[in-house]
Amino acid sequence: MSRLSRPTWVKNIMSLLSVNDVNVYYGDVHILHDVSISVGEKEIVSIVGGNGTGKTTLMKTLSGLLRTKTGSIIFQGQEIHHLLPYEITRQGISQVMEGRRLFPFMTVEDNLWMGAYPLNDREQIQRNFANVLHLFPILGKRKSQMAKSFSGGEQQMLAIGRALMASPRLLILDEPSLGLAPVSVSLIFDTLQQINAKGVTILLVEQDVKKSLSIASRGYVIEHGRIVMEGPGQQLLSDPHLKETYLGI
Amino acid sequence: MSPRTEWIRGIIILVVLSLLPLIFQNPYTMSILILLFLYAYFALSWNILGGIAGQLSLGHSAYVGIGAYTSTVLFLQWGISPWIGMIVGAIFAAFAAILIGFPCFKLRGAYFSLATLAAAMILQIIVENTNNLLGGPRGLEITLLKDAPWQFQYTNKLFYYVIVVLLFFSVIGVTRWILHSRIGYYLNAIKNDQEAAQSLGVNLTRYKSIAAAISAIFTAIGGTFYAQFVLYINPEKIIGTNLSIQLAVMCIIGGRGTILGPILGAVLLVVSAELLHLYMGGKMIGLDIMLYGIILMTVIRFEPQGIYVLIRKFFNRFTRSTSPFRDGRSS
Repeated sequence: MSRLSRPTWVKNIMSLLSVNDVNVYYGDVHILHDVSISVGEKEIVSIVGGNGTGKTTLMKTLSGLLRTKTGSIIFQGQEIHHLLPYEITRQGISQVMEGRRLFPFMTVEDNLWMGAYPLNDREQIQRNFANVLHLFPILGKRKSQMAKSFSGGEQQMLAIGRALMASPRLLILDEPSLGLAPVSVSLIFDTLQQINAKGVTILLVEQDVKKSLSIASRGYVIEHGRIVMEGPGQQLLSDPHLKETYLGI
Repeated sequence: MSPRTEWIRGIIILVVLSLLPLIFQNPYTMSILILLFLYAYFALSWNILGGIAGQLSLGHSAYVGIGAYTSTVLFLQWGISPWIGMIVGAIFAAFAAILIGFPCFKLRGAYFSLATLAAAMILQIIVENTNNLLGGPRGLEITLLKDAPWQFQYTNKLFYYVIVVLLFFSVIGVTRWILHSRIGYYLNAIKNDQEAAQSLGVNLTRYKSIAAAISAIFTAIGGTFYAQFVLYINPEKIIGTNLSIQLAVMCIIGGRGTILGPILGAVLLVVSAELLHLYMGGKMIGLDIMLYGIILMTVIRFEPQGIYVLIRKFFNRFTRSTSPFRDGRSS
């Protein structure tokens, strides 16, 4: 584990996603300061931090909803920070947004098909659909129900299922545990590990530091828009500063 | 509903509609019938952008104006048949919709509505100040030719009735096609949560532009029809804010995003306005606008999704939402 002084992307040229010295502003307000992270193939990487530290800003920047002022984002060797959101999705990045953001007045099934938007291969879509139903059997049982009638945990499953419909190489999740019952949170994190085991790289942004770092191969700690720590998940969990700040130990 | 029962239902409706003129032979009722279909047609055209795509436009009178003025000016200045003018007007309107939409689609909710309202007002002011070509605030009168079908004029109102019914069915056909196609499906997602749709990779501007262009094309064609039916157009009546709001109100009252909703809304508003005119005569001008307001408030208060939903609840029919992907792929 190391306290960061220099960006680490140089040594991670082979990584799937690398964010290099990214600065993002809301108008004049400087939100992200020289943020650099990298996500290797088939890793689970977790970004943790409190409220208002820039986690969601980083996610929105990755998906193209916000623009970088300086710095670059490279996915599979290609610069993506100048692409539009729909172009980024086509590159193989799927995002589960904060608050799930389902289509409330569409059925479960229609929500899922919507996720397959970037794909053209019908057989592939069909396979993805079967895989998602296998992963979340409840979605299959209630597929003609409106999404709004689902509980929080079920909605999160649907949101993850929808993101998987696009056969992403990188799945980004913004606060998947937010507002869920503890039992649902455990279920979601177990599922994320299953998804990862099938070869999908996962970038997780969480306030639930303990749970997310315990499943992560590596983690980053973000404070005031800066990455202040990085290291393997288990090591970060035993860091005194992190323990004191986030776990209250 | 199976396709067969749907066909049968369609044929029954067609037969009833073709018999209607035999019952209402006097020109006054015939005129109301034509206006009824025209307004239902306009409401359905508005519905493509305002209902299916969920973009509440308050500037649709601009497209009515573009349709009416294009065909009329082409006819008056160069003697070009309004049938051709109708197509030219529709093309102009499609371009205008994309042009207006490009900056406005980034706006949400009320801001989008206000921007479209402003666009129509600007067009109205331009027309009112172009005296030579567009007749300014006095408007344009179309030369009476009596029976000249190629010039879109006929003394027998049945001529207009047949055309408006055909227009009405064409917009229903296109609406149905949109609702069952991928485009309709994506528009529905945009209506539900546009940021979420965007994050899934949907190109928002593209699909909103498609909806706006189709909606504008139909609206403009209706504009030409109106000009030829009334043989007189003026900016206040055709491009004014009143018409824009009327079209939106019809759909909201009836039920946005459905096929029956806008038709119900149009029937309710046109019939109630005509009855008021009939019984109140010239007294209490503006009473119809007040009535619209009361109906609108009542519907929004008790059934925000429109009267259509109430009627559907009443008949208690269970209609499944249909996905363009459903056929054999999902199960």
